[in-house]
Amino acid sequence: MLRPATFAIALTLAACSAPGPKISTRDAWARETGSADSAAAYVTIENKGGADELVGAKASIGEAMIHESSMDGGVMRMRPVANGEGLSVPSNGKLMLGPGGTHVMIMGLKGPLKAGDHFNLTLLFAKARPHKVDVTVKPAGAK
Amino acid sequence: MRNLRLVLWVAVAVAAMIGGALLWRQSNAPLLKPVPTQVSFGGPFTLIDSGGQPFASSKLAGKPYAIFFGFTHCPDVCPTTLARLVKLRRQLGNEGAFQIVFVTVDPERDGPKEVGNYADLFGSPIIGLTGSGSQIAQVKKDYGIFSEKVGTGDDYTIDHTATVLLFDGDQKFQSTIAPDETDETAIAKLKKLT
Repeated sequence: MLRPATFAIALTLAACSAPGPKISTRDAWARETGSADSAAAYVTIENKGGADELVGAKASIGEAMIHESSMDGGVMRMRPVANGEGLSVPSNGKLMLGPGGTHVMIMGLKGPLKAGDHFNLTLLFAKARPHKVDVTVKPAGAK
Repeated sequence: MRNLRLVLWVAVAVAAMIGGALLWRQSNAPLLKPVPTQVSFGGPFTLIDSGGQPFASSKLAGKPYAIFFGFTHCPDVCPTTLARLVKLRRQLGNEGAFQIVFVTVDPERDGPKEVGNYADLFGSPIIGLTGSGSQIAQVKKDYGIFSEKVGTGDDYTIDHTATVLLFDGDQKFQSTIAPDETDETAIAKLKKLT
Protein backbone atom coordinates (compact mmCIF):
# COMPACT_ATOMS: atom_id res chain seq x y z
CA MET A 1 0.00 0.00 0.00
CA LEU A 2 2.05 2.88 -1.26
CA ARG A 3 -0.63 5.51 -1.47
CA PRO A 4 -1.30 6.30 2.24
CA ALA A 5 2.45 6.49 2.83
CA THR A 6 2.91 9.00 -0.01
CA PHE A 7 -0.04 10.96 1.33
CA ALA A 8 1.51 11.03 4.81
CA ILE A 9 4.82 12.28 3.43
CA ALA A 10 3.05 14.98 1.42
CA LEU A 11 1.20 16.09 4.55
CA THR A 12 4.42 16.24 6.56
CA LEU A 13 6.11 18.33 3.87
CA ALA A 14 3.16 20.70 3.73
CA ALA A 15 3.26 21.14 7.48
CA CYS A 16 6.99 21.90 7.42
CA SER A 17 7.01 24.52 4.69
CA ALA A 18 6.24 28.05 5.88
CA PRO A 19 3.17 29.85 4.54
CA GLY A 20 3.83 31.93 1.45
CA PRO A 21 4.21 35.72 1.63
CA LYS A 22 1.19 37.96 0.91
CA ILE A 23 2.57 41.21 -0.43
CA SER A 24 0.76 44.51 -0.81
CA THR A 25 2.10 48.03 -1.23
CA ARG A 26 1.04 51.58 -0.40
CA ASP A 27 2.31 55.18 -0.49
CA ALA A 28 4.45 54.73 -3.59
CA TRP A 29 5.94 58.06 -4.56
CA ALA A 30 8.96 59.73 -6.10
CA ARG A 31 10.25 63.25 -6.00
CA GLU A 32 10.17 65.61 -8.95
CA THR A 33 13.58 65.89 -10.62
CA GLY A 34 15.58 68.67 -12.25
CA SER A 35 18.15 68.23 -14.98
CA ALA A 36 19.88 65.24 -13.37
CA ASP A 37 18.89 61.87 -14.82
CA SER A 38 18.39 60.08 -11.51
CA ALA A 39 15.51 59.80 -9.08
CA ALA A 40 14.54 57.97 -5.91
CA ALA A 41 11.27 56.12 -5.39
CA TYR A 42 9.75 55.26 -2.03
CA VAL A 43 7.12 52.68 -1.08
CA THR A 44 5.82 50.82 1.93
CA ILE A 45 5.68 47.05 1.44
CA GLU A 46 3.33 45.11 3.69
CA ASN A 47 3.35 41.38 4.14
CA LYS A 48 0.39 39.50 5.62
CA GLY A 49 1.99 36.09 5.04
CA GLY A 50 5.31 34.32 5.54
CA ALA A 51 8.68 36.06 5.49
CA ASP A 52 10.12 37.17 2.18
CA GLU A 53 12.93 39.30 0.81
CA LEU A 54 12.97 42.22 -1.58
CA VAL A 55 15.74 41.39 -4.04
CA GLY A 56 15.39 43.98 -6.78
CA ALA A 57 13.22 46.33 -8.80
CA LYS A 58 12.48 47.27 -12.39
CA ALA A 59 11.16 50.63 -13.54
CA SER A 60 9.44 51.64 -16.76
CA ILE A 61 11.44 54.87 -16.92
CA GLY A 62 15.04 53.83 -16.27
CA GLU A 63 17.36 51.39 -14.61
CA ALA A 64 16.25 50.64 -11.05
CA MET A 65 18.41 49.50 -8.16
CA ILE A 66 17.79 49.17 -4.45
CA HIS A 67 20.05 51.62 -2.62
CA GLU A 68 20.72 52.27 1.00
CA SER A 69 21.67 55.69 2.39
CA SER A 70 23.49 55.58 5.69
CA MET A 71 25.05 58.14 7.99
CA ASP A 72 28.62 57.79 9.11
CA GLY A 73 29.96 60.63 11.26
CA GLY A 74 27.85 63.24 9.47
CA VAL A 75 28.71 61.84 6.05
CA MET A 76 25.89 60.39 3.97
CA ARG A 77 26.85 57.34 1.97
CA MET A 78 24.75 55.67 -0.68
CA ARG A 79 25.38 52.10 -1.72
CA PRO A 80 23.52 49.57 -3.79
CA VAL A 81 22.15 46.68 -1.80
CA ALA A 82 24.43 43.90 -3.02
CA ASN A 83 23.27 41.53 -5.71
CA GLY A 84 21.57 38.44 -4.39
CA GLU A 85 21.33 39.97 -0.93
CA GLY A 86 17.72 40.70 -0.10
CA LEU A 87 16.05 43.12 2.27
CA SER A 88 13.87 41.37 4.80
CA VAL A 89 10.11 41.73 4.43
CA PRO A 90 9.16 40.07 7.71
CA SER A 91 6.24 37.76 8.18
CA ASN A 92 3.16 39.84 9.11
CA GLY A 93 5.33 42.92 9.01
CA LYS A 94 6.48 45.59 6.63
CA LEU A 95 9.48 47.07 4.88
CA MET A 96 9.44 50.82 4.46
CA LEU A 97 11.49 52.47 1.73
CA GLY A 98 11.63 56.15 2.65
CA PRO A 99 13.67 59.36 2.33
CA GLY A 100 17.16 59.18 3.81
CA GLY A 101 17.14 55.39 4.10
CA THR A 102 16.56 52.51 1.77
CA HIS A 103 15.09 53.57 -1.56
CA VAL A 104 14.75 52.53 -5.17
CA MET A 105 17.30 54.52 -7.13
CA ILE A 106 16.37 55.00 -10.77
CA MET A 107 19.11 55.99 -13.17
CA GLY A 108 19.19 56.94 -16.82
CA LEU A 109 15.89 58.85 -16.84
CA LYS A 110 14.97 59.94 -20.36
CA GLY A 111 13.41 63.14 -19.11
CA PRO A 112 12.69 64.90 -15.82
CA LEU A 113 9.91 63.62 -13.56
CA LYS A 114 7.16 66.22 -13.12
CA ALA A 115 4.76 66.44 -10.21
CA GLY A 116 1.60 64.52 -11.10
CA ASP A 117 3.38 62.04 -13.40
CA HIS A 118 2.98 58.32 -12.82
CA PHE A 119 5.26 55.45 -13.67
CA ASN A 120 5.42 51.70 -13.13
CA LEU A 121 7.74 50.04 -10.71
CA THR A 122 7.98 46.27 -10.38
CA LEU A 123 9.29 44.96 -7.10
CA LEU A 124 11.09 41.61 -7.22
CA PHE A 125 10.97 39.23 -4.30
CA ALA A 126 12.77 36.03 -3.38
CA LYS A 127 9.49 34.13 -3.00
CA ALA A 128 6.49 36.26 -3.95
CA ARG A 129 5.72 36.96 -7.58
CA PRO A 130 6.84 40.29 -9.04
CA HIS A 131 4.63 43.06 -7.66
CA LYS A 132 3.67 45.99 -9.87
CA VAL A 133 3.38 49.41 -8.23
CA ASP A 134 2.00 52.67 -9.62
CA VAL A 135 4.32 55.44 -8.44
CA THR A 136 3.07 59.03 -8.16
CA VAL A 137 5.54 61.86 -8.70
CA LYS A 138 5.19 64.53 -6.02
CA PRO A 139 6.54 68.09 -5.86
CA ALA A 140 10.21 68.26 -4.83
CA GLY A 141 9.16 70.00 -1.63
CA ALA A 142 7.03 67.02 -0.50
CA LYS A 143 7.95 65.44 2.85
CA MET B 1 19.78 26.71 12.76
CA ARG B 2 20.54 28.37 9.43
CA ASN B 3 18.76 31.49 10.62
CA LEU B 4 20.68 31.59 13.87
CA ARG B 5 23.99 31.29 12.03
CA LEU B 6 22.95 34.01 9.66
CA VAL B 7 22.00 36.29 12.56
CA LEU B 8 25.36 35.64 14.23
CA TRP B 9 27.26 36.37 11.04
CA VAL B 10 25.30 39.59 10.59
CA ALA B 11 26.18 40.53 14.19
CA VAL B 12 29.87 39.91 13.44
CA ALA B 13 29.64 42.01 10.27
CA VAL B 14 27.91 44.88 12.09
CA ALA B 15 30.52 44.82 14.87
CA ALA B 16 33.30 44.89 12.27
CA MET B 17 31.61 47.80 10.46
CA ILE B 18 31.22 49.82 13.65
CA GLY B 19 34.85 49.14 14.60
CA GLY B 20 35.97 50.09 11.12
CA ALA B 21 33.90 53.26 11.16
CA LEU B 22 35.38 54.31 14.51
CA LEU B 23 38.93 53.73 13.26
CA TRP B 24 38.12 55.54 10.05
CA ARG B 25 36.73 58.52 11.90
CA GLN B 26 39.82 58.77 14.04
CA SER B 27 42.04 58.77 10.98
CA ASN B 28 40.05 61.43 9.12
CA ALA B 29 40.32 64.48 11.29
CA PRO B 30 38.56 67.39 9.50
CA LEU B 31 35.07 65.91 9.73
CA LEU B 32 32.25 68.02 10.97
CA LYS B 33 31.54 67.27 14.61
CA PRO B 34 27.89 67.16 15.66
CA VAL B 35 28.46 69.42 18.68
CA PRO B 36 30.58 72.36 17.60
CA THR B 37 31.73 74.10 20.76
CA GLN B 38 35.22 75.40 20.05
CA VAL B 39 35.37 74.66 16.33
CA SER B 40 34.13 77.15 13.80
CA PHE B 41 33.31 76.96 10.14
CA GLY B 42 32.78 79.45 7.41
CA GLY B 43 34.59 82.38 5.91
CA PRO B 44 34.21 84.52 2.82
CA PHE B 45 33.91 82.88 -0.58
CA THR B 46 33.20 83.78 -4.15
CA LEU B 47 31.36 81.15 -6.16
CA ILE B 48 29.18 81.21 -9.30
CA ASP B 49 25.41 81.64 -9.19
CA SER B 50 22.75 80.03 -11.40
CA GLY B 51 23.04 82.91 -13.85
CA GLY B 52 26.75 82.21 -14.32
CA GLN B 53 27.72 85.38 -12.41
CA PRO B 54 30.21 85.59 -9.53
CA PHE B 55 28.48 85.33 -6.17
CA ALA B 56 30.32 86.76 -3.17
CA SER B 57 29.34 85.49 0.28
CA SER B 58 28.98 89.14 1.38
CA LYS B 59 25.67 89.11 -0.53
CA LEU B 60 24.28 86.85 2.19
CA ALA B 61 25.05 89.33 4.98
CA GLY B 62 22.22 90.89 6.95
CA LYS B 63 20.02 87.83 7.07
CA PRO B 64 20.70 84.38 8.59
CA TYR B 65 21.36 81.49 6.26
CA ALA B 66 21.43 77.72 6.18
CA ILE B 67 24.04 76.28 3.87
CA PHE B 68 23.97 72.74 2.53
CA PHE B 69 26.47 70.97 0.32
CA GLY B 70 25.27 68.30 -2.11
CA PHE B 71 24.99 67.51 -5.80
CA THR B 72 22.14 67.53 -8.29
CA HIS B 73 22.48 63.84 -9.20
CA CYS B 74 21.82 62.98 -5.56
CA PRO B 75 18.31 61.54 -5.65
CA ASP B 76 17.59 60.91 -2.00
CA VAL B 77 19.40 62.75 0.76
CA CYS B 78 19.94 66.11 -0.99
CA PRO B 79 16.35 66.77 -2.09
CA THR B 80 15.13 65.41 1.25
CA THR B 81 17.33 67.89 3.11
CA LEU B 82 16.40 70.87 0.93
CA ALA B 83 12.70 69.98 1.12
CA ARG B 84 13.03 69.82 4.89
CA LEU B 85 14.68 73.24 5.09
CA VAL B 86 11.88 74.69 2.96
CA LYS B 87 9.30 73.06 5.24
CA LEU B 88 11.03 74.33 8.41
CA ARG B 89 11.17 77.83 6.96
CA ARG B 90 7.42 77.70 6.28
CA GLN B 91 6.86 76.49 9.84
CA LEU B 92 8.72 79.54 11.09
CA GLY B 93 6.01 81.49 9.37
CA ASN B 94 7.91 83.43 6.78
CA GLU B 95 9.91 82.84 3.64
CA GLY B 96 12.30 85.58 4.67
CA ALA B 97 13.21 84.01 8.04
CA PHE B 98 16.51 82.73 6.65
CA GLN B 99 18.17 82.10 3.32
CA ILE B 100 18.76 78.59 2.01
CA VAL B 101 22.04 78.10 0.14
CA PHE B 102 22.86 74.98 -1.86
CA VAL B 103 26.50 74.50 -2.91
CA THR B 104 27.40 71.64 -5.24
CA VAL B 105 30.30 69.35 -4.39
CA ASP B 106 30.14 68.10 -8.00
CA PRO B 107 31.27 71.06 -10.15
CA GLU B 108 32.19 68.59 -12.92
CA ARG B 109 28.54 67.84 -13.66
CA ASP B 110 26.80 70.77 -11.97
CA GLY B 111 27.21 74.01 -13.86
CA PRO B 112 25.17 77.19 -13.18
CA LYS B 113 22.19 75.84 -15.16
CA GLU B 114 22.10 72.53 -13.26
CA VAL B 115 22.30 74.08 -9.80
CA GLY B 116 19.71 76.67 -10.87
CA ASN B 117 17.23 74.06 -12.12
CA TYR B 118 17.72 72.06 -8.97
CA ALA B 119 17.29 75.01 -6.61
CA ASP B 120 14.12 76.04 -8.47
CA LEU B 121 12.47 72.66 -7.91
CA PHE B 122 11.42 73.29 -4.35
CA GLY B 123 8.86 76.02 -4.87
CA SER B 124 10.63 78.39 -2.48
CA PRO B 125 13.74 80.55 -2.93
CA ILE B 126 16.99 78.59 -2.73
CA ILE B 127 20.34 80.05 -3.80
CA GLY B 128 22.15 77.45 -5.93
CA LEU B 129 25.91 77.85 -6.27
CA THR B 130 28.69 76.17 -8.20
CA GLY B 131 32.29 77.12 -8.96
CA SER B 132 35.56 75.94 -10.37
CA GLY B 133 37.10 72.80 -8.93
CA SER B 134 39.49 74.82 -6.81
CA GLN B 135 36.81 77.29 -5.61
CA ILE B 136 34.64 74.38 -4.46
CA ALA B 137 37.62 72.63 -2.83
CA GLN B 138 38.42 75.77 -0.85
CA VAL B 139 34.86 76.40 0.33
CA LYS B 140 34.52 72.74 1.34
CA LYS B 141 37.68 73.05 3.40
CA ASP B 142 36.54 76.27 5.09
CA TYR B 143 33.12 74.83 5.88
CA GLY B 144 34.38 71.45 7.14
CA ILE B 145 32.74 69.50 4.35
CA PHE B 146 33.95 66.07 3.34
CA SER B 147 33.10 64.60 -0.05
CA GLU B 148 34.37 61.66 -2.01
CA LYS B 149 33.49 60.37 -5.45
CA VAL B 150 32.30 56.77 -5.54
CA GLY B 151 32.30 54.79 -8.78
CA THR B 152 33.54 55.63 -12.24
CA GLY B 153 32.09 56.74 -15.54
CA ASP B 154 29.13 59.11 -15.86
CA ASP B 155 27.05 57.40 -13.19
CA TYR B 156 29.28 58.08 -10.22
CA THR B 157 27.81 59.14 -6.92
CA ILE B 158 29.34 61.15 -4.09
CA ASP B 159 29.51 60.48 -0.38
CA HIS B 160 29.35 63.80 1.39
CA THR B 161 28.70 65.60 4.65
CA ALA B 162 24.94 65.91 4.95
CA THR B 163 24.96 68.32 7.89
CA VAL B 164 23.42 71.76 7.34
CA LEU B 165 25.47 74.70 8.70
CA LEU B 166 23.66 77.68 10.19
CA PHE B 167 24.98 81.24 10.13
CA ASP B 168 23.51 84.38 11.65
CA GLY B 169 23.03 87.72 9.91
CA ASP B 170 26.60 88.71 10.84
CA GLN B 171 27.81 85.63 8.95
CA LYS B 172 28.98 83.99 12.15
CA PHE B 173 28.73 80.22 12.39
CA GLN B 174 26.10 79.30 14.98
CA SER B 175 25.13 75.64 14.82
CA THR B 176 24.29 72.69 12.61
CA ILE B 177 21.28 70.59 11.70
CA ALA B 178 21.96 66.87 11.25
CA PRO B 179 19.65 64.74 9.10
CA ASP B 180 18.61 62.62 12.08
CA GLU B 181 17.72 65.55 14.34
CA THR B 182 14.06 66.18 15.08
CA ASP B 183 12.20 69.10 13.53
CA GLU B 184 11.68 70.58 17.03
CA THR B 185 15.44 70.74 17.67
CA ALA B 186 16.03 72.17 14.21
CA ILE B 187 13.34 74.84 14.64
CA ALA B 188 14.80 75.85 18.00
CA LYS B 189 18.22 76.33 16.39
CA LEU B 190 16.78 78.29 13.50
CA LYS B 191 14.87 80.58 15.86
CA LYS B 192 18.09 81.42 17.68
CA LEU B 193 19.61 82.77 14.47
CA THR B 194 17.40 85.80 14.30
